[in-house]
Amino acid sequence: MGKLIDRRKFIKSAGLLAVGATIDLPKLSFAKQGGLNNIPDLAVAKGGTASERVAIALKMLGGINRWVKPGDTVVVKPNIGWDRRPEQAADTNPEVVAAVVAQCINTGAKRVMVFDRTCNNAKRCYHNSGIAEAAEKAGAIVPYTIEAGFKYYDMPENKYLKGWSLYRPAMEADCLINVPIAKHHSLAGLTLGMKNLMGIMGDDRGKIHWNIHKYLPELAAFIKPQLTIIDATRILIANGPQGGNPKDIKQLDTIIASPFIASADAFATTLFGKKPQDIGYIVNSVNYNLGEIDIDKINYQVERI
Amino acid sequence: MTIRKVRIASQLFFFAFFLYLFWITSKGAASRIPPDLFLRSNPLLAVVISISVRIIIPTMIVSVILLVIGILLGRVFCGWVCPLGTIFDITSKIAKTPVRAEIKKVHKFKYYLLIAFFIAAIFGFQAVFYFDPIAMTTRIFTTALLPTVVEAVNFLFSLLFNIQPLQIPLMELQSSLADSLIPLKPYYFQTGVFWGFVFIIIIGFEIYGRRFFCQSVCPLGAFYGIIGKAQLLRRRVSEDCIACGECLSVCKTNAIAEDYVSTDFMECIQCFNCVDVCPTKATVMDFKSGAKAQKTDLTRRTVIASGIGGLAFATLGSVSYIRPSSASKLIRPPGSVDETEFVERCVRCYQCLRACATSGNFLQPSLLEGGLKGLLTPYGVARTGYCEFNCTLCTEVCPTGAIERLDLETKQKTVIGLAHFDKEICLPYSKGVECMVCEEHCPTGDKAIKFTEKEYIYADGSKKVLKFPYIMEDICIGCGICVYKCPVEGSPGIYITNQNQQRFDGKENDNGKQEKQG
Ligand code: SF4
Ligand code: SF4
Ligand code: SF4
Repeated sequence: MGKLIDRRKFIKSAGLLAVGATIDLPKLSFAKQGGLNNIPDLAVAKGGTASERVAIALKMLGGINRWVKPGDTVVVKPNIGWDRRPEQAADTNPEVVAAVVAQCINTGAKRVMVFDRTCNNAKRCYHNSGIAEAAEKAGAIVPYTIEAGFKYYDMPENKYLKGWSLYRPAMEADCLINVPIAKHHSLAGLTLGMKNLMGIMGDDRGKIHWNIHKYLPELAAFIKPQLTIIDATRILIANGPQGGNPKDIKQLDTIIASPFIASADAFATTLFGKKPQDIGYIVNSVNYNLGEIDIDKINYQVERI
Repeated sequence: MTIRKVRIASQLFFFAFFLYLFWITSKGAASRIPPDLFLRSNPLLAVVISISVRIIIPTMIVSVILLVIGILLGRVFCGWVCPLGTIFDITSKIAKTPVRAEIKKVHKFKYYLLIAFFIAAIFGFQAVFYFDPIAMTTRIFTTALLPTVVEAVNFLFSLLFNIQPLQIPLMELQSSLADSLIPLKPYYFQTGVFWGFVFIIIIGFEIYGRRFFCQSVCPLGAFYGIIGKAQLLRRRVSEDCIACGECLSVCKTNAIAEDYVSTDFMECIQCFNCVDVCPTKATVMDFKSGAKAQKTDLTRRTVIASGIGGLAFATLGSVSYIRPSSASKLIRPPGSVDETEFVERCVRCYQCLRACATSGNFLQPSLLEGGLKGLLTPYGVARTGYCEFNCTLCTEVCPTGAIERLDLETKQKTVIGLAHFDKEICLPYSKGVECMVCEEHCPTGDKAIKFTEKEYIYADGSKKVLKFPYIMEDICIGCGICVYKCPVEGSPGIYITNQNQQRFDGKENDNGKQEKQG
């Protein structure tokens, strides 16, 4: 059930959580969804600064330590695809990335890596997006993806996407946190959490476009990121995914976080005035246990800062 | 410390400096020292290009410094500075190459060659780049040596990456290398192997006899020899000479005559080997008079012959057959000056290719696509890479102004070509497959690729509504990222031609850059 909680109530539950923080909450399996006690399956934080939004959204979900354990190697995978500046809203907001990194480090992660296989020249994307600098400052290492790191993975359970080369460091990490930016995309409709996973694909991933709505849920089901944090600080409402036109940008100062990638994507459609049912890959995701996509059935909480 | 040792130190310093500039070429204008400094200050290139295009090249005015040094001190550049000369000296040190007197016989060849280049330039054909040592070195480094190193590094990395604990250090190392020298992916130039062979051949000659190239071919050496004929710093031999012949055996360029006393000052590269080796200190290099010169005599017949050769070369270049089909697809780097001037200014130093390899990886050296005059000039190949929307690197590192310096705003509006769909191949049109990868990557803000939604009827009669992309000609800048990213293997569903390309006039006026439609 979707419900709005007010600030005071939130603080109370956050306090309770802080008390119970030592209790090791189990990593959620995708199969069962139904909320742990007071904890929603999807958290939305609006307003405030990027790091406040991230902190509050994660707190609502029960804290990052549900997924990140001390000593873990964590991969934070933002969208760094384009040689654009943060205010152009083509890449994930650097402050959001830095905030996620900081959360992981504070929880005791041994190492946090941030990378993306970019569309434009990697060097340009990493620097101009501001992500390399911000994430490094927050304590992550931000290497470029290297050819040698890609390996072909068989995906025998999939019907359409039977296998693809993926980036090993992302696949082998203890925890993969998917941090896309919500954007318009002519072919896919919108690019959100599932589409962002294409950033760890090798080879000629353009071919995914040929059957994108079938491939993306299968890709997500195979990769299974532990957490998806959709950055909607600024969103692109047209000429995506790389934009470049200031009039296509809308500032929303919003974060949507969920361990259920399809729920996160479904909820994010509402930012664009769309419905989950408008986006093919979200509709097709229902067969893959990626989370509830019916907004009325998602157990979510919204918090305004 | 003897002067000879100072000379060796100078050579090593300038060689290191050259490598450093090569390293930072990928920084473009952001580097404090212009990465193309060696090329810009090359007086031979400056003079020949200016003759050929009939204007003084602004970027190359610094070459006046070396011109004056050349007049005063002769071929001191060859002995003390030239990076290729230093490569030769290092080679002969390792290979214990002897000085070979018989190379003396080909001394004159380089002067004839130089004359031919000058005559050709007067008739508007700049060909000196073929053998200019500086342009040749950056060319060989860019097309042959660096790609080989990158390939080797990548191979090594792919082996080491299987060792788990090495993964992260490797990623970090690769990242820091990628920020400067080594592009992330291996890259290749179509003439790389050729220049690799050229390098092996000139090194082979160096192993045969010291400074073979410098004595026989080098047009820059010949140029310094001619302008420095009346040089002030000269080798002088006093009465104390005991005719032991030691000096002759260490003179790298065979500049000392059989009498041990006279010197051919057009050949002497002021290396101070003779001064160093002379047991009686009879040989000195100074500004005093009393030096005995031995002259290089160029026969009038051969001078005229090389003049005619140059003329013929120029004429041949002009009538060269340009295949219209390939010429129309030649995309020049953004900021290129008019085609005729472009091919005359360009010295094929490949600074632009070097910079682009770390950015869009778009530029390749042409073969004959642009005609004989345009042989080996840079052009964009949208299947190896594409022109990065936010990049202006090639315009920042061109020493000759063949590519005019553009600021980012101008560059983003500079049209280098136009994209066209090949509807027989493009998937929505030819097979009814949803695609639009090209549209996704189009960087122009308001996208130059738009689409219509139409029904596609398949062979079996079934129907589906698909997005069909098309080009907005007034927005397309021809960057080619659509072609590069098109996932159709082999021939892509979209291609660029140089239609609508804008060329620049190479002269900056008061309002900044002046633009021209080409
Ligand atoms: S166009 Fe390229 S190869 Fe030609 S002179 Fe300029 S930088 Fe050198
Ligand atoms: S501006 Fe384009 S062609 Fe020039 S170096 Fe950059 S990517 Fe290459
Ligand atoms: S990427 Fe290639 S095949 Fe796909 S729509 Fe564009 S041109 Fe056609």
